[in-house]
Amino acid sequence: MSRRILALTADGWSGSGGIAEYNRALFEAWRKDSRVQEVVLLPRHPSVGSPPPPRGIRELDAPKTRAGYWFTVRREVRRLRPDLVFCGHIHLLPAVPSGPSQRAPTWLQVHGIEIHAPSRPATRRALDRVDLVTAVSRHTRRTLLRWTSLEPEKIRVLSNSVDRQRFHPGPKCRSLADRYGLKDKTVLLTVGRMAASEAYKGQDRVLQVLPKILEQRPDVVFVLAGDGDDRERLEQLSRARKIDAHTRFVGWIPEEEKRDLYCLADAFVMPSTGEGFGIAFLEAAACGTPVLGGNVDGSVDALAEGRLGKLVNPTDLEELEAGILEVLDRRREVPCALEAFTAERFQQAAQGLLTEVLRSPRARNRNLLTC
Amino acid sequence: MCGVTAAYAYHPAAGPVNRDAVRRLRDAMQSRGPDDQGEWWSSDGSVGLGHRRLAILDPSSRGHQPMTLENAPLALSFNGEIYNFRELRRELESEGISFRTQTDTEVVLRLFQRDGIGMLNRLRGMFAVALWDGVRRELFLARDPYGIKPLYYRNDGWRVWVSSQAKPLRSCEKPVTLDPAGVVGFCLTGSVPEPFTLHREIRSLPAGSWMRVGPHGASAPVRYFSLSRCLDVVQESQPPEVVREAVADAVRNSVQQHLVSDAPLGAFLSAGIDSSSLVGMASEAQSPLQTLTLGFPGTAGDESAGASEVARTYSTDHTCVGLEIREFSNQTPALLEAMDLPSIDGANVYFLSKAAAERGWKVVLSGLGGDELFAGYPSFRDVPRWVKWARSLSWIPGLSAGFRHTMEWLKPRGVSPKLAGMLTLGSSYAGAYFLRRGLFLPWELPQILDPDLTKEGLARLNLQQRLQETLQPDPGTANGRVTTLESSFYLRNQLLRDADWAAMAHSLELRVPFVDAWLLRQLAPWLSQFSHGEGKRYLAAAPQRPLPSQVVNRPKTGFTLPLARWIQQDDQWDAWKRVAALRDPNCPWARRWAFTLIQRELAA
Repeated sequence: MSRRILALTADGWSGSGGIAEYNRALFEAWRKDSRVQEVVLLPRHPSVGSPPPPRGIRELDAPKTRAGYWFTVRREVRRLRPDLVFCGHIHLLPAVPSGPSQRAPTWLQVHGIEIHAPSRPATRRALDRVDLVTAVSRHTRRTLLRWTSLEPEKIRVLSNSVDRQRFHPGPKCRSLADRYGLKDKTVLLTVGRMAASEAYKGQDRVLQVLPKILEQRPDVVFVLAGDGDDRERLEQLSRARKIDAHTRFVGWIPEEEKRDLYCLADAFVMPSTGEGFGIAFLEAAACGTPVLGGNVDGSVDALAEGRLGKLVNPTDLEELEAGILEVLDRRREVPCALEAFTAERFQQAAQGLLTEVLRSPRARNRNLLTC
Repeated sequence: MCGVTAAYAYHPAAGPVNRDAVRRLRDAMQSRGPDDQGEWWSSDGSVGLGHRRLAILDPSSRGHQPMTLENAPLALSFNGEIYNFRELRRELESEGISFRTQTDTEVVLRLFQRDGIGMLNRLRGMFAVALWDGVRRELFLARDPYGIKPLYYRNDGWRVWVSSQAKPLRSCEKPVTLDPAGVVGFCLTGSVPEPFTLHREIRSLPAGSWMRVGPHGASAPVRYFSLSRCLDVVQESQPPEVVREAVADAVRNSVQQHLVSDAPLGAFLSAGIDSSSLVGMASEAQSPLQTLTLGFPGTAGDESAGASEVARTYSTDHTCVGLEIREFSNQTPALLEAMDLPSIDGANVYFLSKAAAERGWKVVLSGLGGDELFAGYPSFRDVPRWVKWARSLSWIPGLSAGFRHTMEWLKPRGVSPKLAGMLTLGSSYAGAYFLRRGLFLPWELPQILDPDLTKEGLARLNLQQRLQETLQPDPGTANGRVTTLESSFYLRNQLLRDADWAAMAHSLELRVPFVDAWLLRQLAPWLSQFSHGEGKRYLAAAPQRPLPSQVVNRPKTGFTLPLARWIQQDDQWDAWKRVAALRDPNCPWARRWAFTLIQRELAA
């Protein structure tokens, strides 16, 4: 039987950021599943720009208001009679109707920061009705289990994957090096949002240990890609430490330049304390760049417990400094552990979980099970 | 009877399982299986099974585990006994399947190969199974219908670890975190209700359930056996002779099935009807049967004299060992170390098992479960009565809250604290049962636990709903409901779990002929006719030679250590003296003991 999936997401098909990218990979995996007739996207926020979704994925117009979104979800559930309702953000979960009109199993995707604090009562109640939750990492899974009464078996780990067509080793891009004044420099790179409310990605800790690193490696330049309301504080920190000659705040870089930047870097560092997963680790590693991450959050999974890169205690500055010096000395190579995060593996897991959720008691009650 | 270990690194990024960690997990259960140890690894290293063996059937090396098949990618680590394995073997042999051992383990493996999960309903006995199915790339876990044999697992989202005991799982991954549901559950009931343990990361596979761990993770446990469904059959009232004969036939069958062993076997004997009837029927098949009694010289709870009388009646080779406070104090650290999950009970079985092991026994029969099956507990009388009474008053607005507060106020004057909950909880079978069996009441917990932990624990545990769910479908009769509740909570979470760790600490297999799904199905039609006390008379009449009349007519006492006096006298257990509510002279000893145990766990 051909299945139809209604997907509630924060952004449309062409949305930017890690979550939108993750969703695209998931919907692609389902689209390639012969059992799936159609994935219907209902975004909370309108899509910006192109490209349009591929065949097999249809995007509905985003309602303008929250109330409109709730109304549209209910209408589409009645109209489409989906076999699965996918919810790409926990805040959209209460919009999934609970009454008899909604008999399809519900699949919730969680990433990290959005579930760090216990949710509102309406969300908690909606969580009790969820059939499957996929978390990007064990850290995110543990965080959710800490404040919900969900059965642990309902929460699976479906880690991000990396597009090896896009991210692969290559020579250092001379024009990029010239643009940022990195010629003949040893480049330490980090990529990520600079949000004051989050401030867990550890850019400030790298700036704190940079003077000591420069004592041993005076040619090091720390490139900070990304932007946000914490950028000014970080720039001030750089000036206060008198290392602004060795830092480059390059802002958001276009997607098409990302690979060149990874290839330009001699090491990628993100000693975070609250990262859900850290897709940038995979992208950097796929380009052969040695990586370093923190050992207290989802980075542990992204770095395959240390097989994909160096794990350090992100709040221990001595350990961080030693770790950065170590990865700067590492040879450029694509780690074997990256094989666990390929698009093919992701597709297998996404299709396998689809099979399981379509066998859940709620799905069985609809008498839709054909296998 | 053995120790089962398994590990499966199912996530592609998890790499091979840590073999040393699997071995450590296995060898932490050395006492469960001192006769042999084994390990098995999948060719890609992502799966490991471990086993410690206590050899009972076919004690030769052919019974080595984990056991594999030469013609199928199956590997099994098995704990338990299948009493109908010879019958199943004959059936499989008639289909041309050949066997290379005389063990029940091989029968389980062959049966799974033929029937898959469907095999579970064919197995009569106690078991915990960890089976690797290389075709499906799934680890299959299962427990017997009543949950006689334990099985715990720890799943972090990449790997799953499995063990016959919860404690060793604490150290096989990241540090564990306390589960408020387990802590609160223990304080409410005196044992930790499954599927919880004291730690969030470690779960108990529920009794009568199976689960699969595949390449995409662990699926939720699936129940294949329902006590309440079994009991939902009522037969028209029959003359006592008919019932007596049916009971005797069924019980005799169960006892005889439980005697199968290639190792020395004995029986625990108190002066109660359950163990006495069991000894009476076991003696019919095995004479002289060895029997063992634990006495407490100079205390009111000493049953030695009554037990000796029963032993003389059935000409058993009887031994009575005495236990006094000094030995109890010396042995308690070892006992608490062996106690897998905290329980206010279990010490009696621990000391009895120690004595049995010192006498060279490997297998022992116990009368556990008789009270649940033959309506022996006062709960069979009280719970239906309370429900009727509370329902008749519960319609009056505000009465239950007022009654509760009045009774709370009267508590210092010697009124039972449980009386306060009579109208609040007593109007349903689940609530009234909790009131009868409960240790602390929910609103008393802040006296002994952190209020935030209490709040979260009560919400996560949701005990009332769990109790209520066991009664779905409704067994239809008062006895059926109480049997279901007693068997699903007190028997499963306390008596059977305690029997397992306490006996296994001394490498002793404890068998419970009255805890048998087949026996339950046989007796279910008659259960409604077992009024309180009458059921036990049917059991007493089951042996060919009747029980001595002083045993039949003796008031029920239970089989407990004189812990009330001992913990009061022993300074090492004085933590309870810091809590005003526990210093109250009317405070039951079990509350003090529970507080002592949980404080020890919280401090660990």
